[in-house]
Amino acid sequence: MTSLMDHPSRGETIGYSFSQPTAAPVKEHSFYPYTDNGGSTLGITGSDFAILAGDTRSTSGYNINSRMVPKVFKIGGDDETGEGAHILLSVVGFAADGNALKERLDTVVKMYKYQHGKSMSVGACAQRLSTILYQKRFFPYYVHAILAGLDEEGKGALYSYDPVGSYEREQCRAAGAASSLIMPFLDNQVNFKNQYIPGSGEGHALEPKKAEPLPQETVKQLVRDAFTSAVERHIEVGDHLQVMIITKDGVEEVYHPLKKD
Amino acid sequence: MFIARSEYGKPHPVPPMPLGPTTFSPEGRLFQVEYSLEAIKLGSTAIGVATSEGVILGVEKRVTSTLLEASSVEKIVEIDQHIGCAMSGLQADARNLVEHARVECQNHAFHYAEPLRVESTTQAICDLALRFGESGDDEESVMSRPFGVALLIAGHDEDGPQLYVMAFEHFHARLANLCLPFRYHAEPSGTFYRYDAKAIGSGSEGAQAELQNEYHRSLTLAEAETLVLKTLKQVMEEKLDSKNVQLASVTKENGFRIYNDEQMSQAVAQLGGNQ
Amino acid sequence: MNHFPEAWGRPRDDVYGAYNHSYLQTSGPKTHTMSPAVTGTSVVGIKFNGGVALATDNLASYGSLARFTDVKRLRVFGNQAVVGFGGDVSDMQYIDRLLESIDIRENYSTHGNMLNAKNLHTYLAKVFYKRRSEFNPLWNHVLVAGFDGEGKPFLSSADLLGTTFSAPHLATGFGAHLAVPILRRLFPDEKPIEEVTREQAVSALKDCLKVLFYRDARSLDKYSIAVITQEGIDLKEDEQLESQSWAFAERIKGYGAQTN
Repeated sequence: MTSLMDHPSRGETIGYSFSQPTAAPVKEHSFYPYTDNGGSTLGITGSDFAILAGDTRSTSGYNINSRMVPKVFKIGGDDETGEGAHILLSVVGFAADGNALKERLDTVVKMYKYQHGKSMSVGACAQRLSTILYQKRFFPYYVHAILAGLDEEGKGALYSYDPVGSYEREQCRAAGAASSLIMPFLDNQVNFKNQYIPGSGEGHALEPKKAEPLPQETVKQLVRDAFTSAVERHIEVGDHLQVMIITKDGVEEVYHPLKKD
Repeated sequence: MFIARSEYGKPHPVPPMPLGPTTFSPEGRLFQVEYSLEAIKLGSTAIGVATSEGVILGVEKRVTSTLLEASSVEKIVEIDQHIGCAMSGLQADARNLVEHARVECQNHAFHYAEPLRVESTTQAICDLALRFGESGDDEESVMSRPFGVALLIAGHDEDGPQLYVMAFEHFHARLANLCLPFRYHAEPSGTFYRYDAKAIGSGSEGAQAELQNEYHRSLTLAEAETLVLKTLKQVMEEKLDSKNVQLASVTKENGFRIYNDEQMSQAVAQLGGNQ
Repeated sequence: MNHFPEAWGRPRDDVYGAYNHSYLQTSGPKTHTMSPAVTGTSVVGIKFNGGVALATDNLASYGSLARFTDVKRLRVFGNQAVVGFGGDVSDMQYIDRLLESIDIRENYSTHGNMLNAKNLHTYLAKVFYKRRSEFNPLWNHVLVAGFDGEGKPFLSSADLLGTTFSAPHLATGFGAHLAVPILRRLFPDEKPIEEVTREQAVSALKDCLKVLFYRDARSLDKYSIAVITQEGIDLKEDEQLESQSWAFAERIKGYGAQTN
């Protein structure tokens, strides 16, 4: 083919019925390797627990792929059900990357136990997740990850990430499609932003209400409220709410119905 | 003994095959492994004693000439803030192993924001020490011979103070054991050993006997320091002084600390006072 | 008439305009399949009590040209799994060869081919994800039907990006817009798959294919349908859509006699 194309007789002197472009325009790679599968996740910690929740809707554009695709995973469990896990991970964004990331972290946590003869701490796992994400800095895992567990003192620990591995330990974090709807609600209800102690002063002297860890029941209700509200205002969120609660006794997983419209 | 057919069908003896380090001799021996054991037997004595307060490492420096600058003999080195190691045998080989261990420790800290455990560090060193012989198709290139050095690895982590030995009786027996299960009846699981007190090198036999007699679980760090010096003194050919031995400690509070001249003088003086 | 071989088989310049030579370039950056050529349209699947049913039409289009009208887009793997392919047909054939070699290798092993539909789906999703990560995608969207490790009916999707999801009923391509709403109405979430019979499932698929034939310009009324149960796979590859009614089309502006 190449030799035919490079035939010396090719040119204007020979009567082609079509014009010959002098230089063929270089075709660009038009393949875009990402997509957005919608959905939202949310994590809140307490003094002796951490909650990680997410809706189970999977979308492509205006289509609902499935109403039951969980986004919260147990990491480093003893079997495929995740039994015995002490770390939770939620991923939202591009679901294929999310799955790949989950499986990678899960493998790392299991290998760690074989190699060092102890379970990985959440702090160590948090750092490792950061390096995993950063190693793909120039072809990132297109996900917002949240990692949850209990720290060495038994307190709830929550770490949130951007797609390239920046991370921070926080009291609460919302991620994904409806994060901009949920996060301000959390700021107000968990960290008591814009809440003041009544009668503590006038104007700038007004004393802000101090944030402190909330009881588990309150947090559970906050999570459900956050999602019922998000479902009302965001089309990519809905179907079911998956909630995982990690305490010293292990991981509890429950599902609640959400609106399917 | 070994006969093959030539091109013309005439039998002729096979010329002796060149032996690689992991090739058996016709008698079923691995010479390179055995030679490496000999190399270590010639090494200077090194002693480690673990107590509940921390671990003490001690080595004889073998200052063979009055013109030798004693401080240039480095036989105890830091691996990480919480791990140190003493060596006996070929020091150049030890540098390879220590460098590897240091990288592993830093790598772990980078990835996991925590120090590497002492046992894992030891395992990392042993993994490297096994990489000799001929490489497979997709393996990276390996060493041509086994390491001719034994190490005492002292450290402190969440399991408390620990002392590990990568030494000939066990580690090299393990190497040999992988190849020669019928010759060496060592631990077949391919593990290394943790000790309360251990001596390696040329004076190790006598030293180990002494440690066996003197060691008890309630030893303090100061007592361990004295025990190490006392034992070294017994097995050394030269007269022990603060210049021809080196001590180091690993404790929870201070991590790995190598003794400076002043501390060495003090420790040796202490020993003199005790006797 | 132009006698130079380069010009053979090309659309005439004076009629169709200048030929875009970038398609023939032999230099420049290494390129992969960045757009599909010969394509298959929707795949539709549904779980029912005791099995899964899967259907596609038998068309392979070249752009808007109905190029091949007898292409089997349901491929059987082992004896309890079927893959339905949408998207590029050459990539489908590549994957088919891949699966065939796995099937042969597995059958030579002592235990025989033990890979179920769930295993197959996991494998395919990893192949897709790997290829998309290399910027050399396999341009397909597939449905995998069969059984999981516990013998329960299994239906799951995987696409060129490695995205996966599963549901009681699924459809790819145009079917995601047209067939899924029909299936969701017929078999709502509240209704467990145990209450769906094989006959209901098959009839629903036929309805979906008919609607797709009405509205998807890249579809055909010849189709294949596979019904996977514990007893085995019932694959029919030469079916014809029946009882069509094009009466509705008469009201469509621009169709048939009505021109304005």
